[in-house]
Amino acid sequence: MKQFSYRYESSIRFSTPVSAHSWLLRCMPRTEPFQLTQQCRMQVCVTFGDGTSLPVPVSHGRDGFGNALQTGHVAREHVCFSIISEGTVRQTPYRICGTAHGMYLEDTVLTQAGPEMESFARQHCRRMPVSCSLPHGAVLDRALSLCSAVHGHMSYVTGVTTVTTTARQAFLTGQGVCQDYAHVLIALLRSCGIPARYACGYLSGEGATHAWVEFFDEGVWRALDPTNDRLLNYGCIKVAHGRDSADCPVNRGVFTGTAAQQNTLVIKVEEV
Amino acid sequence: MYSLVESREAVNNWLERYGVRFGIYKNGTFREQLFPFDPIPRVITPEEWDYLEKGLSQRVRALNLFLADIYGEKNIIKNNIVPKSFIYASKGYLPQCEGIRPPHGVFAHIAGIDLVQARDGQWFVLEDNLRIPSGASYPLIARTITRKVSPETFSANHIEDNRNYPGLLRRTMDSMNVNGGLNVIFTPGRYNSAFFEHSYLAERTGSVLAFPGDLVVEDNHVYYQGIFHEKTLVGAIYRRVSDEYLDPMVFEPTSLLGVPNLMQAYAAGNVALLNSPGNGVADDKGLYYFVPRMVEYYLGEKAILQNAPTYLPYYEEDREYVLANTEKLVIKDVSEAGGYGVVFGRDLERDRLEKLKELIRTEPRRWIAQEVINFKDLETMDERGVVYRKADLRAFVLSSAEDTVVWKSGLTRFARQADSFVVNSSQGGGFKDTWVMRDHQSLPKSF
Repeated sequence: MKQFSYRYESSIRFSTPVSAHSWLLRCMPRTEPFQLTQQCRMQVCVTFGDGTSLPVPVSHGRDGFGNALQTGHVAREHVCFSIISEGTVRQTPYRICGTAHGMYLEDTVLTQAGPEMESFARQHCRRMPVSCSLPHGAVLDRALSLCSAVHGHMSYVTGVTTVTTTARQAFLTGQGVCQDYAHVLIALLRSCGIPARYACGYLSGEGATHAWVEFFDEGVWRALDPTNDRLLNYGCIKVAHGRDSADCPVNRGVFTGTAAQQNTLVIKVEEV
Repeated sequence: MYSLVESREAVNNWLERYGVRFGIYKNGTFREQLFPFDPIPRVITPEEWDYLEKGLSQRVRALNLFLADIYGEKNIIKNNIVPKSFIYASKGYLPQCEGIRPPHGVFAHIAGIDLVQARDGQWFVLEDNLRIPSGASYPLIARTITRKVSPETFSANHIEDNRNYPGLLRRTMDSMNVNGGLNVIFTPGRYNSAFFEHSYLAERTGSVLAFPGDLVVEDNHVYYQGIFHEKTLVGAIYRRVSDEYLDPMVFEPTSLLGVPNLMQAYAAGNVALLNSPGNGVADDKGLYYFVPRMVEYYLGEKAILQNAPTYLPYYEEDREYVLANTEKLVIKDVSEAGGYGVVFGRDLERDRLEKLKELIRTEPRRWIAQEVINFKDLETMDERGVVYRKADLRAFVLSSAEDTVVWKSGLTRFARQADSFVVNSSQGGGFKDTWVMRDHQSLPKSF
């Protein structure tokens, strides 16, 4: 068992005041069999035009994927919106015993494979009949070899993809960030009949939120990080999962105003 | 009765004055057109109605149990009654609704079930509409007008009064209302094809008609904001905005029609939504095939109402039959609605038929095929006199906390061209009143 402290700090500064601001956040660690949350807290503050800041009320809920949600609404005009989430989590090696929901085998717009990726997947792991039982470790081997293949095929380039880039687009250009790596691997795994889902959270050493992949094998979800070509064990603070990135954005908001936005983000994860 | 038929023009003029219109989007432009009314009603005998009422109520109860199961325990999948890929690949299945139990466990509060009657009198269900079925307001206002234009018709014939629809709807909304707050009808706005209906039903049920921007979620509760931004708590929303635009935080992020964080207030039980989001999984054209099995599975009863004979190319045996008989079948794209994506094999030229067969082979899950039902044609007035036209019946079934009630009327839509089978108002069809008779003494004769 290891223990990690984390701190997520994000703010949006608006060039002119905005109002009627509704927001939905996924910034608190999920409670998972491998991840126990301890003294985790979060706060949302807004700053008004005169420079005064106030914490605003937060409603807590859960989405259809079981992720913790924090929502709220600020009617008054404000120029800055900031979030702090911090605490410690205790982790055992990354494994989640359970079942695989049928949705994690179905394509989504962002994770559709297309013919090129299907033949790529066949090259790196022969397609297995869904019903046949495999020798122990076969799914894990395939998942690991696909993960390496994705890591080898893609180069990490920022700024060439956006949140709406699909797995197929990223695969064809061979470039992208962790989100694209994850989408590509998910599409390949699902096309081989392996249930796979998108996971995201905070990673030690990274300055931004990180995305990785969970796949299901013999009653256990395990985590692969195609960006770094490895099986995850410790040190990734898991915040959310879903079918693809569109199911688990950290921060979504709607407001009235035509302001330009300036975002700052600081994430720190340390073993304690 | 004859006076009613003679006053076709008068009734249509009244409908025009009331603004009874239907909007159509075609090739990117919006056009509103009148929804032509035919004065010869569809007449349903008491025995026939008794049968339909039992069958419809049974079907909707099963569909509600199915929805509660799919977004809850999923026993119907575990027991292999419905293949799981049919559920999870359906566009109507919304994982965002997993685990949400709506007030009283009711998902489909206002269901519109489309039926046709074959020449031999047998009724078939063609489609279930559990998302935002429209149409109840048309026979409702037509009845109000025809009673004015031809009162003697209604004193001579013993017809079930259908003007209780707003009362039934109001009762459903009241029974779902979670906190005694406002009942609201939430419209996408005046450019929606059924805007007339939204405003008419709001007026007749004493609900507030809310437009995008009128509703706001604060502290996980929904409020109606008046013009001075005073806030009133909302307890039930009969929403006529479709699922994908309902909440930009959870669904389509660019939606300007939606209410941000509405889904969270709903999931917390702080507001009722009629109908529930996610219902599309049960009225999917692919899932339709399984509805009679749902009735048996959930209620332990044989389905009273029949489906039209349907084939699923997903099953190999059915696929072979469909490919061998494409010319005589109706092929439907499961992801389309409103009469779009419906193809009669016999109307296709050779190369298009081959293309369709290829699509059926490569994407079997996308299609269903049905035998063409020999509809019973209904008498309809046109300029030259009585002609016979294909027609369907949309029955409205309302589920409240206590019961499931079938409105004793319905929307009868007819095709305006002699050879057409497509009756959807979005495809230019007209409508008739639907008379459910109270006894036999007064059954009107043919015209």
